[in-house]
Amino acid sequence: MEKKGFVQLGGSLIDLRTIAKDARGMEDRLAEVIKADWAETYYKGFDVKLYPFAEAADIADWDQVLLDTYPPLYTDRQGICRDCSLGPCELEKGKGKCGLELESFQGKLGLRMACRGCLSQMMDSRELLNYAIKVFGGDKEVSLGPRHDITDHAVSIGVLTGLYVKNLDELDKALSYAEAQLNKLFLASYSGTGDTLEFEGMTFHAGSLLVLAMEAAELVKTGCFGLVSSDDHPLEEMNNWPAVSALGGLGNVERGKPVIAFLGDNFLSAWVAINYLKEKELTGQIEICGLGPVGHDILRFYDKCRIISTQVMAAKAIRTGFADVVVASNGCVPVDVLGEARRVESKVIWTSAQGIAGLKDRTEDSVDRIVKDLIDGAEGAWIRDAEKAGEIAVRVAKELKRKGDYLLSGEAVKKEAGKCKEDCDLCFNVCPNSLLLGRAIRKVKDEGLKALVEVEEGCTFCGKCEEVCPENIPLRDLIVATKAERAAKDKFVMRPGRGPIPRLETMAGAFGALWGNCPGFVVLMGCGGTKYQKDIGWIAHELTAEGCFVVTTGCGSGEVAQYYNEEEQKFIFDEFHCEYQPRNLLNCGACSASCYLRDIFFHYSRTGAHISHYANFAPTADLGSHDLGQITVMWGVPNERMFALATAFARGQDAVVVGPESAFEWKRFLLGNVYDRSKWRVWDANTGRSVETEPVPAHFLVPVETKEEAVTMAFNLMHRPFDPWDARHVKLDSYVRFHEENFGELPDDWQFYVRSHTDLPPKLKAKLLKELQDKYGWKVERLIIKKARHRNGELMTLDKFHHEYSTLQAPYFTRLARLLSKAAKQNLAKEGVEI
Amino acid sequence: MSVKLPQELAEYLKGKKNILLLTGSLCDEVDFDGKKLLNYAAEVSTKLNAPVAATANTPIGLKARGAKSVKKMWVAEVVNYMRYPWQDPVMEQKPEVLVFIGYPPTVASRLASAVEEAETVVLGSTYIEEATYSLPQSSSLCQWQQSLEQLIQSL
Repeated sequence: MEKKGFVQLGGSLIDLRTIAKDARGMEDRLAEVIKADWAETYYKGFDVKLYPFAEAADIADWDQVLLDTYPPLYTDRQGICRDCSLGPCELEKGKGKCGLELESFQGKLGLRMACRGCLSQMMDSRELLNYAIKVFGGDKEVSLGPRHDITDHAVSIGVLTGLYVKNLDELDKALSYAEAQLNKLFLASYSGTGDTLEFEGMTFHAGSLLVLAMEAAELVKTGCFGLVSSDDHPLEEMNNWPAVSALGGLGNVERGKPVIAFLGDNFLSAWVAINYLKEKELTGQIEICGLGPVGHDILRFYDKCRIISTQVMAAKAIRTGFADVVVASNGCVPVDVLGEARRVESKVIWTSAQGIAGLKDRTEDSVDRIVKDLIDGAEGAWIRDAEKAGEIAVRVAKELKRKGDYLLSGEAVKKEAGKCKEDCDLCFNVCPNSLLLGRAIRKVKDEGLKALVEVEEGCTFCGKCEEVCPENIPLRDLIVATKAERAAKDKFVMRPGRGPIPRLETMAGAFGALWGNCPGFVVLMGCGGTKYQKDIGWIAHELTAEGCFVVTTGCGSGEVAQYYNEEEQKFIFDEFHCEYQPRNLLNCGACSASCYLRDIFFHYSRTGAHISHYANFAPTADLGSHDLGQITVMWGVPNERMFALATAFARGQDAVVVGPESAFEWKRFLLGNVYDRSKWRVWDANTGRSVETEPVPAHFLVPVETKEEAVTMAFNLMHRPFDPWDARHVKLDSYVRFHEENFGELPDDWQFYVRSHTDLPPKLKAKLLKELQDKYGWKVERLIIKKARHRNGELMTLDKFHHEYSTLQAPYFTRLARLLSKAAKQNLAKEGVEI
Repeated sequence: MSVKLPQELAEYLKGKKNILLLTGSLCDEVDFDGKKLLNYAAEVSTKLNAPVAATANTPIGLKARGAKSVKKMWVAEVVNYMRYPWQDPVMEQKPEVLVFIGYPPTVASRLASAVEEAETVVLGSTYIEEATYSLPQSSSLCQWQQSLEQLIQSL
């Protein structure tokens, strides 16, 4: 029996005080993971330092390394700070009264945005967890399933807290930590006076906390409420599981049946309502629909749910009048649910802890009384009790009689459209998607409603056009009227979410990616509201068809699902299998399932280098993405949750490509400068030598303007310093080919990624070799590179080149000096080098 | 910062040496009764003899319209490079003026606000406060087209 605070690992007796920042209260938990999840050789070779319940400052050294390579670029700087009673301070003229500088203020505003982005998820996770503890008890075990063990269970929680979470009480402890951390960060986002990079590091931390909260929600959903998990299913059937069984779109909502639509994050009332339907054998009589993330949760326990829209686009969907009852809660973006529902006589049941204007709190009233009031004409009810809300939704939907025809007729649309003046396009100027709305409206008199189809697809329903229209045309009513004829054709099929991706599958996936099978790993998220609705599906298709692992979550999976391949005559989820393998397309579930996508890459540190993730963020993130280029594509309108999520992915070394609708609203990018060679260096962890590498990935948070740019940039950012030749040639192949096809020329940075002729894709080899010789001055004989031109201008042998450029002769490397091996540190100390 | 009439803007631009034109996604999407915004972008480039950082999907179309010295670039990268010693991604010297055409107003304002060590001009349909100069506010596509034509005639 070891003394408390000491752990025997093989022949080593580890004193927790020497390896953990403060292990008090965590001794047993850390001992458990050290014994089960550590390699003694790693402990002997490296200075391990754990940070249980990590503060932002505990991970700051890692954050600073990233931010040094990818310093933030701020747009639309705010110059006046009004955050305290000392102000306002005009920071463009100098420091504020608290010492804050203009650039730091921008970082502070970014932190504030990230904190706000965490809030709705944090609150939803808390409500879910509290309910689960109340119903099941704190000792209720939670697990993602039998295939998850200590090596990969709830990684995003473990990496920050050090906890191997096993039951609801422990989950409560983890979530409480996240809530307390978020409080601190929020406070800093108002009263902090640090420097820019400190704020940016805290912004990363907020993102990590968001993912933790998502993971907490997922553990409750799978552990307590029976949402399907890949862990419960035979591995050999994973290539087509879950089946493409879910129908989406307004055209798949059976006419004549009562419809309940669920909106927002909180799925408890849906869970109750559907169980009520099952118990009363009413499932065939009532349609259940999803608007926003909750729909994707519902699909994991009730695949008859119809996905109708994203959270962002919910207002437009409600205005079509398809839903009799809308059960709504807070989500990533607010929706004027009552205002929209009122127009079409839908009843609203609001279930969040905070109310909405216009609805009285009816939580304490009897179910019968509320049902009667809603049937008799009440617009809605605020019910902070999921059990009541679920039953009321079903009973009201069954009894309610609505007129059912709320869209403007073709004639009414023509009449309104006739008011539009030939010489006016003010709506174009204010439209966030720059839709040519005025031109479309003026075509209505000749072409009818079909003139508006294109703008309907690109309309975010923000209403800015109506605010500036001098003729007061109800433009959104005109736009949504096009749905009358088109709703029946609005149909698609999709896979419900599958939950987590265990380490077992990621390990198999890693081998599947070898031998040039796969350019990279892609996380695809989308909020809707894009100018071209089909873009995200096209992006998913191109990346999957090219051999990537593509995983979607949240509202984005519903958007992707609508992509129809005319050649194959298939919807996209029918076209591709869904194993974690190249050329597969997976759907993990609702927005909260995004945590699994962060976990995947943390698995690789454990798989490849036996780095245990518990309370060990920096080494886990450092190793995870050295050679397996995971990138994230985010597509859709601005959303603070997505911003926080983007920072979480960037902190774990995912490069994030953001569509135009979000990127420019976030007002900040993390961009590298490929021309500044001093920024592209790593440490050889075994020797301590500083090594120049390829400038990869070139950026961490980069905006693009079009879908073609998104895919091409994605292929570029998949490059990693440790890419072996087979990975490199497939990445180069995709990057160079897409660049040429879409833009008519070779990219200007591809040569940075070449170390030898074996890196070159076979189909392009002769052409690229000629470029290397003619344009970049390399020495090439036949199909062999004899000498390479270093970026310093010197023509050198390949052996020297590999020593001075790339990690070919530094196979284990790190970005962070703290993570060098003990031997390397000794070498440097002998040479008098301070790190 | 201020609005300039097309003729004034033309005079201003003619007085500058290192101009970089940036062409965004709207160049491919907006047309004025058959004539694309991309055509105007190509004409501006030709008249000014300015290289083009062709962002979005504009490089192929620009080259087809005879624009010279066109290079595919990424709009955020161009703005980012302005923060550092210039490394010849599209022209030898660091530009002293960046001219944006084909960017939605919000995007144009964000980009202009982030540019360091250069003046910015936005040839859009709305006034962009963050730009050094922009064309007058147009209430219609037709007005915008007229502004562009007047500008090109005066170059």
